[in-house]
Amino acid sequence: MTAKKWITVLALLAPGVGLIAVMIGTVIYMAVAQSLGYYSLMGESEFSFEFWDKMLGRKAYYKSVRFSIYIGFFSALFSVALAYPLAIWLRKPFNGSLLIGAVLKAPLLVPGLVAAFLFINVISYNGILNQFMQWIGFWDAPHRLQNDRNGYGILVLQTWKNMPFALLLLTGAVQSISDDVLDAARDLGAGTMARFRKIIAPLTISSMQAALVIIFIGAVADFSFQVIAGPTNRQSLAQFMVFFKDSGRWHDAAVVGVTLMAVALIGSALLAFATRIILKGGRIK
Amino acid sequence: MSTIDIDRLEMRFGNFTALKDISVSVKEGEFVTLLGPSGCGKTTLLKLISGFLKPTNGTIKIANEDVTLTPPEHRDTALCFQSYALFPHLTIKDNIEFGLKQKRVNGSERKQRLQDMAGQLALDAQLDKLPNQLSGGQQQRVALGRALIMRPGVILFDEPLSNLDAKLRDSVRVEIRRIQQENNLTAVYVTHDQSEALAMSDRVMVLNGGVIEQVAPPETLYNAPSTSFVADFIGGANIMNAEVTGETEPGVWALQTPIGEMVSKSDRTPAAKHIKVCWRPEAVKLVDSPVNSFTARVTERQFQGSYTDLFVDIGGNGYRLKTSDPGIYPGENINCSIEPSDLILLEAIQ
Ligand SMILES: Nc1ncnc2c1ncn2[C@@H]1O[C@H](COP(=O)(O)OP(=O)(O)OP(=O)(O)O)[C@@H](O)[C@H]1O
Ligand SMILES: [Mg+2]
Repeated sequence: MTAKKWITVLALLAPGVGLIAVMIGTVIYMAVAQSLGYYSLMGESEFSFEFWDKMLGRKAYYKSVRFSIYIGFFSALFSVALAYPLAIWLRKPFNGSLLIGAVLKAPLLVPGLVAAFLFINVISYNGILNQFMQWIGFWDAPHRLQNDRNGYGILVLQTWKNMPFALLLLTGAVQSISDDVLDAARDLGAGTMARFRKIIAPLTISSMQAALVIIFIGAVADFSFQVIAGPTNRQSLAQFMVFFKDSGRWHDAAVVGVTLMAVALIGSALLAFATRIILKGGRIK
Repeated sequence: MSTIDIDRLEMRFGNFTALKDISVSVKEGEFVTLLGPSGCGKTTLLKLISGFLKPTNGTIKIANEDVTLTPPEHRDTALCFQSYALFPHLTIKDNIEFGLKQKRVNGSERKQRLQDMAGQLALDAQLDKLPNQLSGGQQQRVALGRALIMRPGVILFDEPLSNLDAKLRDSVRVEIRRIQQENNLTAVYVTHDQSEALAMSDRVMVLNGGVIEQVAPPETLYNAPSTSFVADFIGGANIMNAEVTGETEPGVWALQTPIGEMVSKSDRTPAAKHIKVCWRPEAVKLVDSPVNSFTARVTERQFQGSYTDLFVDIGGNGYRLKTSDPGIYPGENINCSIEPSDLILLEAIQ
């Protein structure tokens, strides 16, 4: 394309893309600038690496980064891993499949906070789950399940909440694969796993990537599930950020915020890239 | 050693019986065609043999082993889909090699077989392309190659040539037959094109409404159809009702027909007193004869080049004749006769 054409295209795109760029750009710029000492709400505004320096010296910061990545990665992984078999199962309509599909997607309609409250009720010390496990004789005494140290509670909640979204994306993709193509693979000796790995997954890779990335970004930045059901000995990045903000330390909050954005961006890029590498043996197209 | 033995096979979908009481054996290396009108159950039978459907009754053996309940991935069959069903995300090379990789055939052998197959099907230049970059005929050949490269005991084709133009169809047809014979593959080939069936097959199995009408070599099917359905479906025939009035000498039957008294020379014993009989349009001789002769009035003429189709009226009924004489026109009366052996005895009238 010639320069003139480029300019035309850019001019045509400017009203739409420009607005989006300005809106996103402002937020990012603000966060980055604030993390570097500008836009101080109290006291002097001046450029300084001081806040980054101090932050990078805190153990809790690294813990928080690791924990958020862990939650984001496994939430995305479990949601997609659960959604795939369901999407394949619901590929062909059968009696009741519409109802099952609707029930499976119900969590999309339940606000996360409400779900988290219900969840801790169920797993609480005297909750239904403990009583049930004792009743069937599996456990002798109630277990303490709330706010477990590994964040399993959060993973359950994140998966519960996000699986329907992955299902929504994957169902359409899986349905677009023709029966004959799957039958042909089967006829050539591909069993269930081989059909998934060699046919279904590569043909639905875009939807899979979209689901992984969107769920990852959401879960990395989790705040509400963490506050209610998360471990008390570590904080997610969002929680960490709010902690600084609440104590009036805006520059530290901004440092964590910028970190969160970077983690979301780099993490999703890596995730999307890894998916492609694993499924296509490195071939990009 | 791949034979196919199908015994009293039945396939029902709910209340609908798609196949009924199918029993047939295919020898090793034999090329059998399934021929029949749309909806008669051809694809269903193929899916039963390849394992995508489980019969509601009966058994299927491949190489003397009962595979009725064996899933497709564990049967020594390869199916060539009517819709090609190529893997859209894989290159032609990967498509063709898919089954070999699945079977863990080692790299050098795979390479050799791929080369041979690509050469045979003229696909050498296409190997690095994706399926949607190929023409319909090329895709068809990839589908063939993908199945053939497996060298399966049994190869199944579901109307593999239906999307090709006439010229390409002829050459691919020859190609399929050659590869099948070279590798001594047992083949079942579905088509609704009767000329394809006659030209390619060792035997043809005619299906109608889920039941076998006749299984026979092409020549037998043409010269001695056993039912009026087969007679009409293969090559066309004039079918009449007849009453058997007696056996004038061994194997010669006197008949009362709408076009007069006739005799038929046949190995078959008439199935009943009232039966159907048929004669081929091209079996008629335009000469008088002491037996089986009649006079026909020509009502319509269609010149076809090497022969001429005549539509005639005999005693108020319409029939078709084929003649090499282009000089006969509507309105003329012609004397015709049929050899007793060309008057074929068919099924009883119900
Ligand atoms: N899964 C199914 N459920 C119900 N009926 C079916 C099913 N599959 C096939 N049939 C019916 O069985 C009959 C035979 O179908 P089949 O596909 O074998 O026909 P065919 O001979 O291959 O026809 P064509 O030449 O049009 O391909 C049809 O009447 C079809 O409607
Ligand atoms: Mg069919």
